[in-house]
Amino acid sequence: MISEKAENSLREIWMAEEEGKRVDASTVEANVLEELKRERLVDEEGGKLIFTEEGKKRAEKIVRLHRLAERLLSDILGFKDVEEHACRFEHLIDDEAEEAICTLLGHPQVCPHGRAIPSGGCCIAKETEVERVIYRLSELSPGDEGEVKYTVADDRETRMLISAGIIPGTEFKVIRVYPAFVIQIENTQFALDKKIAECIYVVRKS
Amino acid sequence: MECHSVNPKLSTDRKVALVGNPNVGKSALFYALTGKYATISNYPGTTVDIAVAKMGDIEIIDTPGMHSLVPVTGEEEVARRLLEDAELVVHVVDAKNIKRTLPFTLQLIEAGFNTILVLNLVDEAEKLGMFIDENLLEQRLGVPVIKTIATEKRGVSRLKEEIRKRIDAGKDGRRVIKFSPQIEKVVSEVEEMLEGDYSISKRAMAILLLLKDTISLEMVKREKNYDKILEKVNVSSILPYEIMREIHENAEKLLDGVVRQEEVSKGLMKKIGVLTLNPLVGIPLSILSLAFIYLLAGYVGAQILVDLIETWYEENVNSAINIFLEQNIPNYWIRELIGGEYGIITLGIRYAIAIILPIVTTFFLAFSILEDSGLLPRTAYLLDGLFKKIGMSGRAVIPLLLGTGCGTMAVIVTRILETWRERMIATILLAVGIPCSAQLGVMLGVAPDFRAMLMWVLIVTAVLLITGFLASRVLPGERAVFFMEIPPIRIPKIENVFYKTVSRLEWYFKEVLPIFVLISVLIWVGRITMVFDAIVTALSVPVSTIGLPAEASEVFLYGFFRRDYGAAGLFDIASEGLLGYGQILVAMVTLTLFVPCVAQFSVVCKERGIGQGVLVFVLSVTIAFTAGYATALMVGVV
Repeated sequence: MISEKAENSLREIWMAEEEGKRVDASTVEANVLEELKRERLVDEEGGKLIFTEEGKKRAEKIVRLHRLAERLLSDILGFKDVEEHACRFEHLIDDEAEEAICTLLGHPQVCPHGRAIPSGGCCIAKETEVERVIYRLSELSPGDEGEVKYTVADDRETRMLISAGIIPGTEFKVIRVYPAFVIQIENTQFALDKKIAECIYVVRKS
Repeated sequence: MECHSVNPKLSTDRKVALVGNPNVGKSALFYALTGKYATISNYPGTTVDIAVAKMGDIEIIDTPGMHSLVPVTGEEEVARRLLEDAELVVHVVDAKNIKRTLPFTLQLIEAGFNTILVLNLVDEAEKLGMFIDENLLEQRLGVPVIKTIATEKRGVSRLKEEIRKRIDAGKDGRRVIKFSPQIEKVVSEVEEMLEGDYSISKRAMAILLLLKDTISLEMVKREKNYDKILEKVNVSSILPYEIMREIHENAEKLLDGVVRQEEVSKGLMKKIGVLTLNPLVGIPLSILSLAFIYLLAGYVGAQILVDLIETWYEENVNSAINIFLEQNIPNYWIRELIGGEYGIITLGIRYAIAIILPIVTTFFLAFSILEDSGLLPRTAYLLDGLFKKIGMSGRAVIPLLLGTGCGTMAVIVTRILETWRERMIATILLAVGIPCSAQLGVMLGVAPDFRAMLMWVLIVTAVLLITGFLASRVLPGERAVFFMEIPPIRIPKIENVFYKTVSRLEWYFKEVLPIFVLISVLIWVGRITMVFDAIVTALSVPVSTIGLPAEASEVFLYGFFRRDYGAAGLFDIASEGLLGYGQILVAMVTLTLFVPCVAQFSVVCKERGIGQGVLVFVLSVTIAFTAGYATALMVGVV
């Protein structure tokens, strides 16, 4: 096991790489840097830090846990300020809990800030004993009722959904799923195609 | 594109903008307020047609449908710009959807607009057991709230009174939206960075920027702190939906105690509404509505009425004009300009009044009835799967169906489509092969028997599908997304249908009558200068390739000026017995697929640019003769 600080550093390097940047070795605390090098997780190249094979794997896992934690905190537990809590929470999640959380959340692909969540083994297998809470709207059947949790769409589609009032917290009822989806929100019915329905993540109400 | 100035023609009077979602009865309210048919104005820089009419000395503007201050479609963009220029904004909402639409009202008030909230269709809401305390809502919002049933003119006089009273009130800095501390902090930080002068409040600008509104981002480009603002907006971890959620939460709080919901049994109309979404019910119903359009426009209009009026016109007007010209005008060419075979009165005006008027009137009548009944969006829903295959969403059914009435108007209506790609595909299909009502009517007359008619339908449909399929593969752009509100099924009100039909007709004639006269003049000039002969000779090459007699070349040239000119010309040579059975079919197919009429062509150029207009033109000619040749081979004409 490496320290929490080292884990946080790995996440920062990962996030910099997502934006196509590199982290300066000088910005990392000396003892943390030493730990990372000792564990052979990063190499230094011209003053910049780069992952080793092993380092990349570890960072991916940490980022995945962090972002799953964010989703869990915001969608299920209703936290508004998720970042800070997630930073502490991520270190507590073991492999089994990771799969359970991921499944519960319906194998989400992005965090609340819209960044990609690296997929885990459970996302590929998509089966486990945990009962799911979060579904995509496209997975529901006529008569199902639910509440919108979040949406993952491009800017145009997001604006379209927001304009129509389809935002987290909106309650709806599924009227039809074929030939396209029809949902009822309050007293209005909306028709939407499967692609849009796949962008809307919801909690099903029994 | 000019950003926010209204056509100088409109700008002397005080203006009231009606805004709101589509299908909330905005047009009916517009009519109830002004009592007039809309005069249609063109909004500068764009080509969206806006209805404008007077209520006393106040100008009422009916803006295109709008869901929120953040526009998604081109139409909504225009609506947003229009309302920024108005003295007073009347937000029309469907009373039963108050919870979903109030957030937009809040944004309007927050933006500093002098606003009146109208709860329309209260009768529908009450049928659903929803009762709204408008006085309490008025108190909480600080702006007038008025209940109306526009189609029955109920509540309209109160609204008129309120408009007169409030129009000079001006903008105020009222704040109705309270954000949580985190969001409030970012909003006020962005607000403080803004230095420019905007038509909406800086706070509203800041909110729009955080909602990633493209128009606002464009507007702040002049700011000297632009880079900083952009960074603040992008870096803030606040997501657009979080802001919207808080605005919705504000709305919910405001409505607490305002809306009283009573249990009622499900209405019959609602059950029917759901039933019509089932393909087993909906598809036969869509076919029935098509049959209804055909019956009204294709039969009553194109056959019975055209016959009546045309015969009357030829017997009374044409002969009188020609006799008068013979006696008084010695010069042959001047006689030909006004009378004769192609004269302004004997051909231009005759076509407009005797052929087009009855057909488009009956078509628009049928279309308005379908529109008001709520069936069109259901057809769009049912056909979405098919339309996706040709690169468009089900929404495209509306311009394409309208295209069977008038292609020119339909090209303008492609604006309701969300992406450039969809608009382009629809424009191509409209230009290539959706026959307009005039053309349809004549084709029905020319077809020698039912079998030929059926083959014509099959070939044209196949060509359209193939063209659409290929266009969707070739044209770049975002994929089509289908997302549409499905309005309840309603029984159309006669007065509204009449009003819609008349205002569409008015638009049509303003646009089309001058073109008809111009065409007569062009034909006249073409005949004098022999230019037409040269074009006709050139055209005779492809025309004879597809196995048609040389006389048909002329038909094609006139077909460009009006599709129905060509079709009518075809009717003439067919009735002279110059064409065999197979040749008639070939001519029908080729002429249908041939270039759009000159009016449609000019609108395509206006809407999509000249380059793309010419591209569409060339494409039509190529497709027409290729398909014509294939048909000729099939029926053994060549």
